[in-house]
Amino acid sequence: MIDVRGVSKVFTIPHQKRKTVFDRVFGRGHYTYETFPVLSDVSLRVEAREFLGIVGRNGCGKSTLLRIVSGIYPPTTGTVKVDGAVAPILELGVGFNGALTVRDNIFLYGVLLGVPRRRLETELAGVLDRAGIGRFEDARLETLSTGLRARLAFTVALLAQAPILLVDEALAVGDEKFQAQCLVELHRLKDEGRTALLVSHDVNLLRELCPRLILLEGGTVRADGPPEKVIDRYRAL
Amino acid sequence: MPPSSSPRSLLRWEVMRELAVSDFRLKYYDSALGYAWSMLSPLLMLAVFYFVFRFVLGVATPGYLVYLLVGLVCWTFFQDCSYAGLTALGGKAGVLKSIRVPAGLVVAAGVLSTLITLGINVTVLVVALALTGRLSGLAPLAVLPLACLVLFAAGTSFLVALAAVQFRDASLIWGVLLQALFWLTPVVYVANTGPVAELLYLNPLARCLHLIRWFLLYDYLPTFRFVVVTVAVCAGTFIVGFALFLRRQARVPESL
Repeated sequence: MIDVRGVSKVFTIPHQKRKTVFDRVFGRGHYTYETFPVLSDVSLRVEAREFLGIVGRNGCGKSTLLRIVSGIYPPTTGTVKVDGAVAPILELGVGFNGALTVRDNIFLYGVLLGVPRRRLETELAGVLDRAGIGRFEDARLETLSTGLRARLAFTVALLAQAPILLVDEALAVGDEKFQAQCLVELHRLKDEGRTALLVSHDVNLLRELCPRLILLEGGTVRADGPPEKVIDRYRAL
Repeated sequence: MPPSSSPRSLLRWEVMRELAVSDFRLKYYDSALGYAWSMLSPLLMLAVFYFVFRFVLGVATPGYLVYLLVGLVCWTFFQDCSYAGLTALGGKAGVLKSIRVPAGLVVAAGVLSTLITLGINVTVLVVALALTGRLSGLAPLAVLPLACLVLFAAGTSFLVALAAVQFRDASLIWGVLLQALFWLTPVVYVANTGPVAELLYLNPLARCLHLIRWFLLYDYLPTFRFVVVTVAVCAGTFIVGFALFLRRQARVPESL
């Protein structure tokens, strides 16, 4: 269950990106910054075992919302309650390093996602197999194609057995086969009874997975309901 | 479905270890001499400083070579450790913005990876001293000031990491401060007595270095008070650095 109540997020953006110490000490110019509200008074509730989809145009606050639910950013006001461990898959393969071997990357990315090292060791062969990498575990990651890297990241991410998934457009990479594979996995996770908050521009994917969608626009929830209705509103923006 | 039976603290330790080990590997990635560089860089500095101080400036202190070596191993650690703090968060911005990892863990991993190098270097140093019969009987006591050095360096790293998030020019300023600190610490010169030595005691790094050399090389037992003050100052630096960092930790990902 995810319960977001009255969440607002305001970023303060200094006029010069980051102030230098010199400016601060010698007071060149005033300490000016702009406040930039990204989310204002967002409330939503995702029940256990529910898959909720979020649509919205670029810059509407989708990613910020997921980061707040993940606990990466603190909200400016409001509260977020999440009961259960969360696996944020906001960017596939973040933390991967091309210079390290495939095996080292699996361990690094895996523990970052909260999978215990011991489990990664026992699952190693299975991960390599499912990702289609086979015997290249000692190769440097940079020798793999972009698609293979994405598959590897997705396979490792699936090991995180968190009951709550937060997925941000992460599956938009890879070829058709990979995307189909992702869809199968998401269906499986849904059947297993996990809870998910999915952000995507792919309305077909959302229609297929989520019985309910919300539309985020200008940092507020503009529509909430069955996919067709919300997608119509989204397209009318 | 619980995430796993592993406690949170174990997972945190695993994240830190994995980040530190990959940092350590990447530092020497593709270099012809690999890990040997962790020992070679203090040795090359040793050659330069020994030449300048022994032959150009005519320093005639007996045992100056080992004195210098101990100083450089410790100083290299402090320098690398503080640079790790300076660059750790910026280098892992992507991770911090998309995975929930405490920022402090990322800094700690940077510290840990330089600690690996220190461990290797101190081991080699002690073995070399033992083989040449220069190791003092008090050598096991050196563990204490070495721990102080690590605490002081780690505390500094957390402070520098925080500064680097807030000010773009932190790395430039730290470069200058580090130079100043290098010359205010008896790394390459000898200052054991006199008012200048007393003044240098204000510098925790100088205190650590004195103690490490006294225990490791000179069989000299300082006053209890000297040891206690050193431990207190270094532990205090660590506590202050870490506590200040923890206070701002939650805002680190959005500030990157």
